[in-house]
Amino acid sequence: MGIEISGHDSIGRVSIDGELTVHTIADIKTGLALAVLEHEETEIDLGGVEEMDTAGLQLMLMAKRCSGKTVRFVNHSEAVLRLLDLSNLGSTLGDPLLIAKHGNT
Amino acid sequence: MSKTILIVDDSASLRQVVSMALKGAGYDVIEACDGKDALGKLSGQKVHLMISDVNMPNMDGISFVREVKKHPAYRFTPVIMLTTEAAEEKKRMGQDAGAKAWVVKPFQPQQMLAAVSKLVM
Amino acid sequence: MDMNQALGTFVEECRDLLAQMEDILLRADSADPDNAVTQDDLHALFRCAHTIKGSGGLFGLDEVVAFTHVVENALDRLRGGTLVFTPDLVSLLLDCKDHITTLVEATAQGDPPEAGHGEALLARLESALATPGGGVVTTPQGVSALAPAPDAAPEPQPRVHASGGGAFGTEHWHLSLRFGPEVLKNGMDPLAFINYLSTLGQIVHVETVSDALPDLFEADPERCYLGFEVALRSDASKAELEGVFEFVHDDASITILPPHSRVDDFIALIDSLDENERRLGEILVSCGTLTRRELDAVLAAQRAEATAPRLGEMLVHQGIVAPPVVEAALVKQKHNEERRTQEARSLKVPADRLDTLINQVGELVIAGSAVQLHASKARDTELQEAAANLLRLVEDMRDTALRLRMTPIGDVFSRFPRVVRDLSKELGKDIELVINGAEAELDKSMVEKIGDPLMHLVRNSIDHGIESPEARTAADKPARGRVVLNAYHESGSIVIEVADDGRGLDTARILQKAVERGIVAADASLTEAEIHRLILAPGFSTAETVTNLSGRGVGMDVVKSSIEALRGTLDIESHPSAGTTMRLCLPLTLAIIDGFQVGVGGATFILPLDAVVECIELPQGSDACDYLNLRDQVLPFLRLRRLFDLPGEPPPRQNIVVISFAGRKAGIAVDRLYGECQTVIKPLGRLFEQISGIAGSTILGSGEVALILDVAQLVQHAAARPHGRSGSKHQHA
Repeated sequence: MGIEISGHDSIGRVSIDGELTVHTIADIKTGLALAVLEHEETEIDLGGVEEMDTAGLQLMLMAKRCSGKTVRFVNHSEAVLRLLDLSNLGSTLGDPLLIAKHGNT
Repeated sequence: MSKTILIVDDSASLRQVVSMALKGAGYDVIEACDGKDALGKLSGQKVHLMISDVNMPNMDGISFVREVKKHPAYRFTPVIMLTTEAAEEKKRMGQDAGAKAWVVKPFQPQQMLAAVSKLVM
Repeated sequence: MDMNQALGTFVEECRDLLAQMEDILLRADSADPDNAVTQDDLHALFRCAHTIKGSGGLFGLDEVVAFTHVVENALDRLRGGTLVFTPDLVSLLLDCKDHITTLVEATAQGDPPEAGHGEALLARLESALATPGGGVVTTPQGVSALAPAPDAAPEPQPRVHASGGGAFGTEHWHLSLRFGPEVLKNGMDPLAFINYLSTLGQIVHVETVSDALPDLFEADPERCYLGFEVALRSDASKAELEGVFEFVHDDASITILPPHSRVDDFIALIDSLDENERRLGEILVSCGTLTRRELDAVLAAQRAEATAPRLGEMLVHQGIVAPPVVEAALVKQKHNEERRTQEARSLKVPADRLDTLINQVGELVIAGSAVQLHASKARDTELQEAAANLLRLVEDMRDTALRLRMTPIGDVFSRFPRVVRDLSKELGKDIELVINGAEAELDKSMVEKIGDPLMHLVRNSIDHGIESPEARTAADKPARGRVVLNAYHESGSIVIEVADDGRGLDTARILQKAVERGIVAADASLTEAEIHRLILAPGFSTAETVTNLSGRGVGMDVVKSSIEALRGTLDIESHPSAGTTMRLCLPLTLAIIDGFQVGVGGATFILPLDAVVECIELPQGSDACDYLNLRDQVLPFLRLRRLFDLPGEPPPRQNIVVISFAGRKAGIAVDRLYGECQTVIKPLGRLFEQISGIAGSTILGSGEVALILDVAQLVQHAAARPHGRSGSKHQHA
């Protein structure tokens, strides 16, 4: 459970496991901000996210909006997809590859 | 992944009925008969929601909420207080302690389920 | 585990609790000090009842809940110290405990509990509660209010429907949710609420509002920065939807708009939120809550509201910035296209804002002519053209602004169907109301003032005009009477008719009454029309029995004078047994009068046209006189030049305008007569309020200001002057 950063070159890789909720958000945000700060491009793997809430959603939005940085979310878990669906943010925070494939939904 | 709910009440039958309703809706339930019992049963494991009566022997609901909110794992965990209509003051005390939700006793199982699903997805 | 098993647990539990209660109560009754009841015991006692009540509710045992509630109250007061044990109270509580036992055991057996006994105990308990502590007594109503509703998932609430004001927006609810920063820390998850909404209906659209989201590096991720706009299709009531957010009530701002909300509600919503209004509007459109067209209308209306006091400024900008004009024009065009729907879609604007607007536009006309004047002085043709163009637009705008105050007469008519229904029922008459021309428009201020006189006329028709069904049948008329409200425009006025097909005015009786009351001489020879008009005389009433409808001490004379106060007239047309028509003729607005324009030196004055009787030439050589002979009547007259101390010499030929007010006549000497004009009345500034003889001002088409003369004051003034100076030298006109 938590956040793992494995940055190399200009692309940072972050994977988030377990809870992406208000209970864990402070730690995850610190790690995520660090990764985004240090890399031009950051890919965030959400495959291990088992639980997510509004705190998680707004962190994703903040990361995506980081000016001058490219942030990508990949491998969305069921829990993440459910919230993106609920908040209608699939096109903003979805997987770029999937979005390209399926069009804006 | 199923969510876990703690129910703290000194009435065994109330716990039974609530627990039955919650389990029927797919939640895991931990039961405790008063605040002390609840603190003992919680050992840092994930709980998504707590339901607590106010009037209980040993440790009442307000003290329990105040105590449990000190634990880092539970500081943001939602708490439903079981209040009575007459006890506005208790409700306020509960809210100050960190129990921001409430269900007024006596209630029907569906009412409890409605309150729970406003707090846990 | 099933419910029966849980019920078994409940009964077991109750037995334990009741035994505990009994033990404590018995100790309270004993004199043994070692065994005295402690504060802890009192808490425990209370808890017993509390638990039985709480669990009983869960099983739907209403009897147990209602009864135990009162016992719990008493026990609550015992532990709080506002009630103390007495031997009587102890035995009463023991009896109550026994009764609870009975109720619970009856439940265990599946038998319905016996009624009656409980009530008697409750009554005793209530009186016990009332005596010693003197505190608040729980009433039986309180008990029943506490009993759980039979099927109470979310409590059944009365359905709330969209408030009046016509259709706007679409079929679904619109929820605007802004959460406070602390909600997440309080364990509340906004998305969970939205998820819960989906159990109450179908979520049509969700828009996450993230405008307040800070930079990643600065953000406190445990604070909530998000808001949501939700479109929900649901049969739930507003109370149910509000109930969803009860736990965040203090911690969030929740706006719930029912389907088909009014424009005002959307404006209020947009105003109440921090985000950019355009963006919010787009959100409302993407939620499907508003169509693009409706959004345009809302924004235009909102803009009008926001800028009305600063219209002058806005217009300056308009010369440069075309888009708002274009948009406003589009909105207007759209309104014309959809006249029918637009009627229901009216917008409430405080009348004083409109007045401010009209005044400002009036000033704008003046400012515009000043520009035009300077442009022509500068001999710059392009500038002159631009100025002329501007002035024309501003004048159009003034007309439009005046039209803003126009509302359909139907607003007044709409209250009559109910009145007619109620009154005819009360009088045992069968009356049908027909309304024609409800769409005819007149000034808002008139609409407000015409209501009462119309009400009186309608009541009169129902009460005095229409006969009873028997009388009608006997007279070979349909049993069902008919009252017609009719409105139409006629030569710059609005005509409103209240017609009935009743018995018509009884001229013989009117005349008799009028003679009895000394209104006319017994030998007066009057035409039929003149006799009809007698009912308008002060102190006249034809009702032989004063009913509680018309006979309220307000006679037709009051109706007549209130119509005259609106510069209107009241005509009566009546035919025996065919019915009576009361015809009101009113100016369309109080803000515009038909004026008669006159000039003195360089100044222009306006007299209300209806006060002007005739114009004559002032005889030569009457310079010193203030009276002249008008067909052998002494006519006092005023020289406006002298009255207002105007500079310049009078021309050789002056004119007299004869005016009349309240039956008195006076002349006004002026240099020139310009003729009739339509005039917009503008109130005087504070500076001129004290000047007698002036009622207001207006702006002429040329942008020039003209003063409107106060006829009442002038007539009074002319008549009150001392006769001494030239009274004897009457001139012949």
